Amino acid sequence: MVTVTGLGAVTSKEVAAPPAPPAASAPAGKKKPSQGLIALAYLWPGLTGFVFFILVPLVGSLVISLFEWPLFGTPTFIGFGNYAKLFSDPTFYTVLLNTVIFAFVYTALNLVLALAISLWLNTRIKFAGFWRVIFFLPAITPMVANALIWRLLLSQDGLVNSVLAGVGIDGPSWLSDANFALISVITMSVWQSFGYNVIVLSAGLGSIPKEILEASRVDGTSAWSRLRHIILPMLSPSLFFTMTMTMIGAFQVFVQPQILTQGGPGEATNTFVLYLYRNGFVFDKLGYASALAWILFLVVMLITALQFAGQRKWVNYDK
Amino acid sequence: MKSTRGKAVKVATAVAMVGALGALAGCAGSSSGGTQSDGTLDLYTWVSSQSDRDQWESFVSEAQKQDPDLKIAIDGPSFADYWTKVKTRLSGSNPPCLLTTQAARAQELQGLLKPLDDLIAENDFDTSDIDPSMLEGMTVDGTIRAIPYDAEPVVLFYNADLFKAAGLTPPGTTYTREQFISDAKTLTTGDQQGLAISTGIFIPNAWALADGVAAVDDDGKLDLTNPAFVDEVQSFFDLVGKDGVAPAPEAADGSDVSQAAFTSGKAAMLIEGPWMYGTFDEAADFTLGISIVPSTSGEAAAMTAGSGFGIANTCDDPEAAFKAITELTSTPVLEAQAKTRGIVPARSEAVPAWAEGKSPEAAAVVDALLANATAQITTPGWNQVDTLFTQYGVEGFRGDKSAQEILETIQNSVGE
Repeated sequence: MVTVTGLGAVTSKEVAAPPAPPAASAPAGKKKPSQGLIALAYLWPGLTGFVFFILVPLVGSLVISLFEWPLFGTPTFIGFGNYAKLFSDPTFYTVLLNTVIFAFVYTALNLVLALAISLWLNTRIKFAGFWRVIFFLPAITPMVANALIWRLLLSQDGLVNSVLAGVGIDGPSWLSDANFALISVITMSVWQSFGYNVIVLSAGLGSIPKEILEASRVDGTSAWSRLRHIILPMLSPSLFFTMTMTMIGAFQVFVQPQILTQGGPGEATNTFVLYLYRNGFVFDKLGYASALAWILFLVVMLITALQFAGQRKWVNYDK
Repeated sequence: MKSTRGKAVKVATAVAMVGALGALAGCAGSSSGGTQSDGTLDLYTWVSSQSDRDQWESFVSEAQKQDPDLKIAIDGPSFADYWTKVKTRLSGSNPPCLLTTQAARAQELQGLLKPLDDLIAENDFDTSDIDPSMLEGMTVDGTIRAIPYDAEPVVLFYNADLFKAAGLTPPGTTYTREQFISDAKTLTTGDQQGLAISTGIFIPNAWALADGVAAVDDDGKLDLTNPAFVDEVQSFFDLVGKDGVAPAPEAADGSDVSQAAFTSGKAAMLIEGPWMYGTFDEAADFTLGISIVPSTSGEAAAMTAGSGFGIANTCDDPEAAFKAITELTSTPVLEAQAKTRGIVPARSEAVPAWAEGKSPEAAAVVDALLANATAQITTPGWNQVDTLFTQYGVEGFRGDKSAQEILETIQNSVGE
């Protein structure tokens, strides 16, 4: 108990306190350049990868976004023409809205489900490991295969509607009715990926010191108040991590609408990355696709920044 | 330390910029080529399966019977990837000389394909025997970009056993829309449907062209919203929404779904290309019949689809490439392809070879359709038209949106 508290105190200080001054003063001036070289020697393998696989393509896509750029032929410089066109393109707003709805609903459902399952798995049930594997399976099977199976399940005369017909319900066209298509895509996506968050949250739950929970039980707290006042605050770093990563992933949703609905009916399930991909590689508009990519980058960065700004209010790093 | 970091950032930025510009220059540049030192020509085409590879190899081996010195190396990605990769392949180093294209994609690939008119004239290449609709389909800006090897008029396949069981007269070389809908209604009972429909604009376009209505205007510009075309598409949507003779396809359904419905006997009719004849005949345990795509007048009028060989703009020896194309599209080669691969050859002289082993009715239908055929004329942005039609068509079949609304949306989105 003492050790845990002691460690916790140290950890919280490290997080809260301003950066401490270096333990020892910097070596004499002579050694400075050689230190830079040593640092560079250590850095170059990672730096090379970063420069050629991230920075160069990033700059390249920014340059391409200023051109009318076909896959074959001579690019034409049009300045910010692609960006201007983008803001007057009604499909752009539709796919942006679809993606935002997808991202928020999917992330919320994903976290609620993952949290509920991990709390359940943490209640000393039998075969918890087995269940964890079962829930994790969809996350490690290929997305395309999962989506194809779901397409068969949700098709007009698929398994879902057959089962519904068995109990006298005339099921809707899950993938062709604009009222159900997006929610079908979200449902499939949540099923596919919540298992990953179950693993992360289970690990978070496992690291909550049992002594604290025991002490609160001795004090006569209810299960709800333990969840609300002990478990959730102590789990908040894991929740923050899963929320951020799930949200970033959600903005890049592509395979599910591509396989399940082709973005249809109409634009009901067309998402940002699907629209971007089609502009680049089906409609032969690489410049426009690059401009879309940059807008997506800004949107994801903004939302991630907001999440980081908001975490101060609810994420608790004290142990 | 600060200045070191500043320098490092500057150096890194400079490296990145140089790298980016280098990469971009690499993308933008193109080199010539396509022939190997021993005179072997590179053919870049779709090779989705061993069956595809066998087809291209049999083209070459048949052509070598005419010209033993002909050497062609075959290379290429799957059909779906071909249309993207052919553009990057020609942008890269050592581009191929020979390409294949569908007539429907000739507009899209116009920047890659060399106009062949001069070579046709210089070599006295006889085009009079080639299906005129396919030559028109391969024509971009008034110049021929590829020599077609097949000319496949879209047909109506039907399940002759179901027609017989329902006491209906099977259609032949004439078929009115009125009779077609009446038959389809009779054939729609319980789980069985009169017709199976797939997504995309290919079949609706064939439906419209059976009445002589095109999706492009006389200048070749996209004209989806012309009232005649809108009416045609609406009447096609109505087959599902109003007449109830076919289930609405789902956007992500490939043509395999409607084809499986037909060959399994769940649907009595299907509109498809005649290249499916052999596959259907093998898969179906019923008597396969073919007829024309129904038209209002009942007369035969077809939309032809097909592919051909072209020469890359970057080819350094177009003469040799054209000579190869001449051999690849010669009558004996096309006859062999018609017999072994079931293609409807683009040369009328070779068409009888296709009819071998098929019913005389089937041959009569294809002859009637080829006598009044129109190419599927497309525009450079046709891919977008097809993609959007797949997305929006679902709502049209379900009756959620009218053909007018859908075609207006597509016309505005493509903006041609």
